Amino acid sequence: MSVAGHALDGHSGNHHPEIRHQFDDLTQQHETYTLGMWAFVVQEIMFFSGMIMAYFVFRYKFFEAFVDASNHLNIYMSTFNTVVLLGSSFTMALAVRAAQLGQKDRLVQFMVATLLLGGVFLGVKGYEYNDKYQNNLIPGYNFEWTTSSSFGTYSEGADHVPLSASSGAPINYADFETQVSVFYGFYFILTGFHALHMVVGAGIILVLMWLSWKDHFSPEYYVPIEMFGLYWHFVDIVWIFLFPLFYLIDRYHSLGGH
Amino acid sequence: MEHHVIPIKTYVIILVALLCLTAATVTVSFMPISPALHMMGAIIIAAVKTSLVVLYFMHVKYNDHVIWAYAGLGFLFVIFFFIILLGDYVALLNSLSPSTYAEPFDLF
Amino acid sequence: MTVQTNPIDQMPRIVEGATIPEKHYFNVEYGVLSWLLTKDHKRIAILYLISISIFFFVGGLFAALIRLELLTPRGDLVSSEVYNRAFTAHGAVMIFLFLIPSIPATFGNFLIPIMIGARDLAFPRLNLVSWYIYSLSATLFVTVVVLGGVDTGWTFYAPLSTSFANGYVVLTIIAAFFAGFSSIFTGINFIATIHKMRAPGMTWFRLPLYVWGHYAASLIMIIGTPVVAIALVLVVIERVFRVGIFDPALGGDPVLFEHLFWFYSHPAVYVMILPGMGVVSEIITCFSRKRIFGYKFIAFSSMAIALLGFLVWGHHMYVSGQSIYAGMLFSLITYVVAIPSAIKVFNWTATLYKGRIYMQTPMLYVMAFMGLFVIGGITGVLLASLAADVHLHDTYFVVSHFHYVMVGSATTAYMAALHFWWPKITGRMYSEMWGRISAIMIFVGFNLTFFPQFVVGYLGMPRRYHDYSFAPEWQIWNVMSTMGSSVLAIGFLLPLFYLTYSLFYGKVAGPNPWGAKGLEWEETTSPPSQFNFEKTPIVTQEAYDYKTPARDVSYQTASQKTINTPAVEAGNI
Ligand SMILES: [Cu+2]
Repeated sequence: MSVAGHALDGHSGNHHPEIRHQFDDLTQQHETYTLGMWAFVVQEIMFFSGMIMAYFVFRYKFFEAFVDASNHLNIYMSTFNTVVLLGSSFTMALAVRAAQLGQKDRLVQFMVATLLLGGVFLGVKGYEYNDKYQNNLIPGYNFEWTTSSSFGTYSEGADHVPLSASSGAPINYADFETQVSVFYGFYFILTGFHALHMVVGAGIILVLMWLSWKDHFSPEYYVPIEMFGLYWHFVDIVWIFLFPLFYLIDRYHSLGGH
Repeated sequence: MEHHVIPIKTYVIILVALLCLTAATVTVSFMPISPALHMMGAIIIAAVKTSLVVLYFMHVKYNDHVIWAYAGLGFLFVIFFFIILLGDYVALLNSLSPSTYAEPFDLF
Repeated sequence: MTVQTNPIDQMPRIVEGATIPEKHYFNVEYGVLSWLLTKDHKRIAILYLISISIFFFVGGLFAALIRLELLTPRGDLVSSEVYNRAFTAHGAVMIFLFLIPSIPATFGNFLIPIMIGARDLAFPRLNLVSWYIYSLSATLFVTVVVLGGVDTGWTFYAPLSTSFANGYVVLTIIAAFFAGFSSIFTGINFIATIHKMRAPGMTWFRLPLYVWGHYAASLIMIIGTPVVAIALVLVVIERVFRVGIFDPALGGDPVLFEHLFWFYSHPAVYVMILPGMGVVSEIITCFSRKRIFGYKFIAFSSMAIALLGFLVWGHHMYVSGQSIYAGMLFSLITYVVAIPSAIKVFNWTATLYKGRIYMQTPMLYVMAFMGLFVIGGITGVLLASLAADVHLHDTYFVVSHFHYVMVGSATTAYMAALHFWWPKITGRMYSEMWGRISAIMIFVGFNLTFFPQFVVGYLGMPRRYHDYSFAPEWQIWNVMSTMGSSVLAIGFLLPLFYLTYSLFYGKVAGPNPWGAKGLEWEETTSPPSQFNFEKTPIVTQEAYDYKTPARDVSYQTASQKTINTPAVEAGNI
């Protein structure tokens, strides 16, 4: 049993200053922190899944409105941003590697690169938000949907109006503009929470950069860098899902091909 | 303290794979297939990308079984959650208005 | 440890001349700051114990108000507005500030590291942070109540909460959100601790079942709580920014809120009950002097409850407009989840069989737990059936059912834990007579309060009504219920006095007054020292190594100690 092994190693003279009193050795401490971070990531996955779940439900309910609305998002910028964020995940992975090998300069350099790429992502995101603001696409604040639907006007064609199974009368669902506003509501909530996680991450990475610069980490003790890496990759994973869900799917159907 | 150090080459290969999959998911979204397949395609590609990030960038491939279990745990529950809840909505809306919403087994 | 051969009918077994150790976690430092900045899991447990006791009585005050109002059919004591705010405050305070943290944050915090042979939890600072987050949440709740409260019910159903409710909905939701994160951090801490901090030889199947119960509950905390957190955040966003999510007038979907809410809030019941079941497993073996029957079944049934518990949330929504297929599926899985709960009850009963049973206060509570949990569980199966629920939904039958589970079971288990580990936590014994009186009063008062509610609920009395003058024949049941609630209140108030008294004048308990098994009893002093153990213990035996009564009617002697401490230097304490 591996756990038993660690505790027995406790008296082997391993008195690294970074061992907290509740641990026997650095290996146990490292494994415990990593597991704790993964439990936190599980928590984060469920946190985002609730919102993505709600998005799925509305995408099914308000299919035409969501397809129309999503095709007005900027596919070029979002693809660029995806590449940027994958790149920052890559540099963060290399930063953890540098920390494992004790290469202090490369560690700091890769973290700077990660921070810069994250900054580019947030800058582009800010530009997109501003674009929505200019075009009155902020639900609850100023929202107008003037673009005509590629599916025709919503009220046209009885087969687009949901009918109640019991009475046969049209169900009074929200009108097309309201449905589009629901899409933009989710767009801002989900990308907003994602951006918030990135801002928090940027704050943490600044602290870690400072600590690395001050020789705080060594090949024996770099667990904060590794934990932050897990966090940053998780933020990347969230974007891996948000990108197709908001910007991509059903592009074909807005080209008139449905 | 021996921690598995992954060669830079592996990281580069993973990055290239992720970029290729990004190109693939953009391409799929313009393909003439049904909405359900669009959704499936996007989710499957995103899942593959996620596995690459989790296994290599997050070092799960080189970790013990407890980390494997926790890496899978969140995703497992998300899948349960989504299947039950979306299944409910598909069945419900379809029974309310069969003309607007696809049949549960007719989405493709 | 002194060998003491007390007569077998004597319990607790106080060793005469036992002393409280000179230095222990309680007197190692003095001053307010030594408490507010402590990272010792035992001191944080005490902080939690004090906080949740306060809020238990705050919640109880609102319950008293509700019961007084329902004494008469007319709504004559308070207005309907005030009544709505009272039951919301009662529900929210009891759930978020008492029941969710009750056993895990106090006894879990105190005992898990000791039971697995660790010096502390994995993340002591996170542990303290989670108490501060809890306190922040509690402060916000108090602020809301002082300012005038909310009237959404603790469930915050949309669109009532997002568009129509008066009062401080946003502030209450932020408080609930913080309470959730306090619970998530506790869960993360327990998971990392139980996986990675066990003493040598403490394999998974040597863990006390108490630890298994907490592990299962911790999984629910980290998987479920974030979902309700985000559902509540979405309510705030809709209420503040008028973005359509749940309100149909804005294009939203109110049923979606119920899905997101109950995805956590059903499993939340297991966060309350699983640690309680762990407590029962500990006490029932000790007080029947028998090894637990079916260790692995109880351990795995905890895990099964935690996992299956996530697939049954829709049984709260049979009449809310989910699809009929979902209703059938949820009904079926809810029946299935009753199986692991029943397995536990059967195993506890089998543990009692032919045991040498002592009826001390903790055991009285455990006996109460078993009876009340069976009633609560069986009525739960009744409510899980689709057709019956259409009639019983939102009546007092449901109210009574979940009080049988949350008060009758979870709170009773909490009281059992309090009385069982009180000598360990404080080093002193309480008055056994008063303990028994209060246990019996709680049992009698509880049944008198809530059994009539089954009847009146079956007759159709809806929950959350403050005026039932349209059906005055319900009054007799409500009078019984209110009478019972005063007995219950006295039963809960008594421990406040005799436990406080025992702190100063109680008999010194000695390290193991119950003759119980487990690292916390056999390897630590009462109260434990700052780092729990002098040396990291090495475990060589399974849990609950009680001699069966046939072979040895008395308790074990010191020479038969099952856990040795060879000369292994403890780590760097
Ligand atoms: Cu439930």
